[in-house]
Amino acid sequence: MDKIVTKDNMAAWLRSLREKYEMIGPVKRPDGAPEFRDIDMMPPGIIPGGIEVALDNAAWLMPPKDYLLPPTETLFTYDEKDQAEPLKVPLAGDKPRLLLGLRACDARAIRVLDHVYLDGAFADPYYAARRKGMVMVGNVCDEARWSCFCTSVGEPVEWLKDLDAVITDIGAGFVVTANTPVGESLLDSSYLSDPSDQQMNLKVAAWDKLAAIPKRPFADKLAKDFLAWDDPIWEKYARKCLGCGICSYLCPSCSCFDIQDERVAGQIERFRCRDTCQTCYFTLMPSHNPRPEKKMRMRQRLSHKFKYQPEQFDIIGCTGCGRCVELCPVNLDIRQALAEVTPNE
Amino acid sequence: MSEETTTIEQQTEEQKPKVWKPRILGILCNWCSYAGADLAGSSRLQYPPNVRIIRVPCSGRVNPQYIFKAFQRGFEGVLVLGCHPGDCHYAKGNYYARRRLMLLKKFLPSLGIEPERFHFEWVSASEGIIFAEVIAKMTKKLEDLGPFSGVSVVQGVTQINTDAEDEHR
Amino acid sequence: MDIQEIRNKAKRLLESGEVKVVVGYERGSTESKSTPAFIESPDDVDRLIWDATCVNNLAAYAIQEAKNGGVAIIARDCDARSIVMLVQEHQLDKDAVRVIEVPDETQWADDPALPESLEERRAFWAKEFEKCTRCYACRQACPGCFCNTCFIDRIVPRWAAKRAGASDAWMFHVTRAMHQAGRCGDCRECSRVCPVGIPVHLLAREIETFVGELFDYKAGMDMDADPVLGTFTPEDPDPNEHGG
Repeated sequence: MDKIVTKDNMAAWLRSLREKYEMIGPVKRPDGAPEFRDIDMMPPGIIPGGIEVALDNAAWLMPPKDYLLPPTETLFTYDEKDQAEPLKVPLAGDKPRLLLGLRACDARAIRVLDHVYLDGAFADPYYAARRKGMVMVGNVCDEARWSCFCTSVGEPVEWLKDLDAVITDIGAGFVVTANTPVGESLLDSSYLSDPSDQQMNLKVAAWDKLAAIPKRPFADKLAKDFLAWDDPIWEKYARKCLGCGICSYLCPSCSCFDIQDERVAGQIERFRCRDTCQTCYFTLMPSHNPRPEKKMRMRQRLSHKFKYQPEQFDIIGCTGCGRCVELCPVNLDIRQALAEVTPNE
Repeated sequence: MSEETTTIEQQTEEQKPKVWKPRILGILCNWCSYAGADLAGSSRLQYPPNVRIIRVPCSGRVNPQYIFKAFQRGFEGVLVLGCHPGDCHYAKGNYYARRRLMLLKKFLPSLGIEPERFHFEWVSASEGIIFAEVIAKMTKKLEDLGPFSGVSVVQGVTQINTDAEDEHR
Repeated sequence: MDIQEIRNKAKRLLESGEVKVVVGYERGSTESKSTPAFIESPDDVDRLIWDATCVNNLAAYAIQEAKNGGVAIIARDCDARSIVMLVQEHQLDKDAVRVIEVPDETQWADDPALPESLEERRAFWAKEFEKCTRCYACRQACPGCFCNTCFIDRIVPRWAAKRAGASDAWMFHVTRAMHQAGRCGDCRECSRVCPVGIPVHLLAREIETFVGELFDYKAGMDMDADPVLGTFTPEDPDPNEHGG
């Protein structure tokens, strides 16, 4: 189902949705930089005339995963003095969340996270509580950034069809496409009307443009067995890697965490926080370090996304958002590494 | 330092002063200043009960990060006392400490911490009186400065709890 | 500076066997980026470039590369100071490293000014550190951060939790800056690599200013000088409130 909402009515429509949902989306900060955040939390000055939602392909820095896997999440707390009391386990609240303006890659990354945190016997209750009832509204990118490579690791248009609804900017307004019953319920609003054929054509053109983002040489060659354990390439790329956590902390689909305990003034807290395979402390055991060398950690990151996750969940763990490409301090470009390890024929 | 932290918390627990008093972390050299503090005690000298003391083998053992940690956990003031120059039990530990800590004291204002919150000087084993004076003077200074809102206050909201806090505030 | 001059120098050093590798810059994966290059053969020196995209402090690779034999590093003034500092700190054998000097033409962004009042300063840093992702890119890019185990990675004692929020991040950044005392050549890599734009370098710069004022010392200028906090003189500035 498709509807059209004018640019003037967009803010009013989004505001009406906020009554039912806690809304999170890309917004323009006062300094103009885009940011993916809780729209309710924006300072009052930003909201009045219309929510300054940044529905373009500006790369908001922090991936939406932070709303499913907060950078720090309390797992339980207890009071040292009152050990008979049961552990306090905080779980996310009841008001469902609406993630707005997800780029295809970021939306797909949440599917990757779903596999990690919900599949099989080990569903994670904290993630599940946040994920439950979450509504995902996508956004069709207008322009590919230099770092983008979504079409090389999958089909972004198909990823968008997987969402509850998708917003397409057609210049004079937005076409909103519902893919699910929940999506349709969002469209049930007097601010939206039926689109004309011409408007629908513009929408299709925008989707086609997204699908036409040029593919990289490694596209369609990402067979599970293309990454060799002892490929000299790991050493080559690891040599310039500084070993920071930018690529994994800002990755929308990287899912690893560390668990720490802390005791402050008699309050014990166990929390989990981001962790990265790019440090030598990752999965460090008392007697054994599985990846003492940089090249092993380089191998881990690529293999996890392009080999282990495809084997485990039948999904490529990378969605081509380009954050790691764009933000790496030494321009270690994952796409070049992939091009080198894929078979040439 | 974790052991000492435990002690500090337990003390707070028991004492629970009614009015706000600044809390001082004192890091004292074992050979001179700790003995000086001992002397102040055994001489029945009166000094404000605001200081929690950690004994270290030498002021040269004092890493600036101990002091940062104390401020991060919400202490109003940090005090480092060592042997007078020339008197170090290990010959020169206090000279190294002096460089580090003079630098630290200059640096604190760059972080927005009043330099008065950090005090560093020499107290020998025989200077019980000076020890008591130092504590009294520092307590007075910190009372004048008022409570320390911590290092994580963004626009009036404390983001993370502090350790040395609350019960008596 | 003419790129050919750099390439010739690199070539000579490799041909003579003086060094095994030249660390420089080559074109990155897009025109606006360069990437560190490890040139091991005289035939490859033409990969080297020198332009406004060459921003990394390559001294970050000095220790790693010197392990395999001689290394030459293309370095601006501030980067060369890092190398001198590493020799001073006994992290690098001075015979194992050559510097190919290049002029500092970096277009530095304007630094934010620290607010005047102490309260505002504290809030300034809290607000900045609130953004910290704890990716430690600042540390990893810093040639002065050569510890085998960083204090922040220690489990016992734990100096700061690896949690989000200004408080623990403050502990990390402030302590790291203090550890850089007398080591920082103001290359500003820490701020450049920060994905969330924290002006980390201001901390170390403040410290270096005070190091100069107190001890008349400038980091990374003299290979034979003792590190400033690893030495003392009896005449150093003294707290001395109650007399000697």
